[in-house]
Amino acid sequence: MKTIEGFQIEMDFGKFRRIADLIYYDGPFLSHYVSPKGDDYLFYWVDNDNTYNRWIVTRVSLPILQQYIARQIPLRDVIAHPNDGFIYITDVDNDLNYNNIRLVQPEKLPDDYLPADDSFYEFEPIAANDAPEMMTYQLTIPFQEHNKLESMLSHIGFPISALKKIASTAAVF
Amino acid sequence: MPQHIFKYQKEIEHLLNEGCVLPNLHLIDKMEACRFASSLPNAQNHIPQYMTNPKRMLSDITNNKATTSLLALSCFVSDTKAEKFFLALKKSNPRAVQSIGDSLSEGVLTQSDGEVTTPTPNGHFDLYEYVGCDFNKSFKITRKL
Repeated sequence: MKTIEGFQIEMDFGKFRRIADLIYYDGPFLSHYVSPKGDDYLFYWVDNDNTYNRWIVTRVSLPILQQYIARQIPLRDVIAHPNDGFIYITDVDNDLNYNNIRLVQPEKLPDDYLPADDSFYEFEPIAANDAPEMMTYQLTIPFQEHNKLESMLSHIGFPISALKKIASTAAVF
Repeated sequence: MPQHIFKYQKEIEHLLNEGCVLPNLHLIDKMEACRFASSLPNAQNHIPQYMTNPKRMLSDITNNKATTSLLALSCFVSDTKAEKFFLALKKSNPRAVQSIGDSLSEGVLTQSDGEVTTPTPNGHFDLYEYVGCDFNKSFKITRKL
């Protein structure tokens, strides 16, 4: 596999909860997870060798995820321009240990680790058995309004998991 | 009628004991199907991800998050749908070809091959193989994608 420059860090991806596989063939290529703090992440497969499967892990906002599923933005935008300005790379071994976790700037990624410019969503999400209610991908309010609504609800102390469900289904008047 | 057992019965039972569930499965009458395969000589085709090393999976059975679908083989109901999926996958994951293969393999599934999930709108379904099912014999590579 290719050598990728980045900062080694400790992250416990094993505690993340799987919400859905967004691209799947014989196994996941793109999966949606939620961290214990309620943040949404995408795990994106990029490479493998005889020992590891390599994944890009990126935190993603719900509006961005919904835009991607709604085919309004390509996956390349989601991976190459993360809200945090960085992504993680990890090499997962056969025992599902997350090794060599590095914090990486997207500009350092080889081009064939990135989706194509026209990588719009042409698949169907497969919900995890225990999390179908968390699959709030439907764009039911204009995405520009999501951040305002989320900020308002967060300010009055709504928990993030409930916030996501409300933000995706509430009407905005 | 002979009682069939799944090719990976032991592994399936292990996951079921850990809290996973099998999806709704249907018997096969006779259906055409496609899968991707590698055209390289000596390629290891048609092996579920759970049985490969390293597995392309993230969830952990100790957290009751593994899915039995990783013990199944992904198939498509038609070559058209398979090819459409392949092209979309290549755009989304350019290196996916090294994991799933570069070619289309086609064949006809019969009752003795296994049980299947209901196909999704994009034509994808999972096949849980019975003992004796061997795609390397029953499926043929028809074209490079």
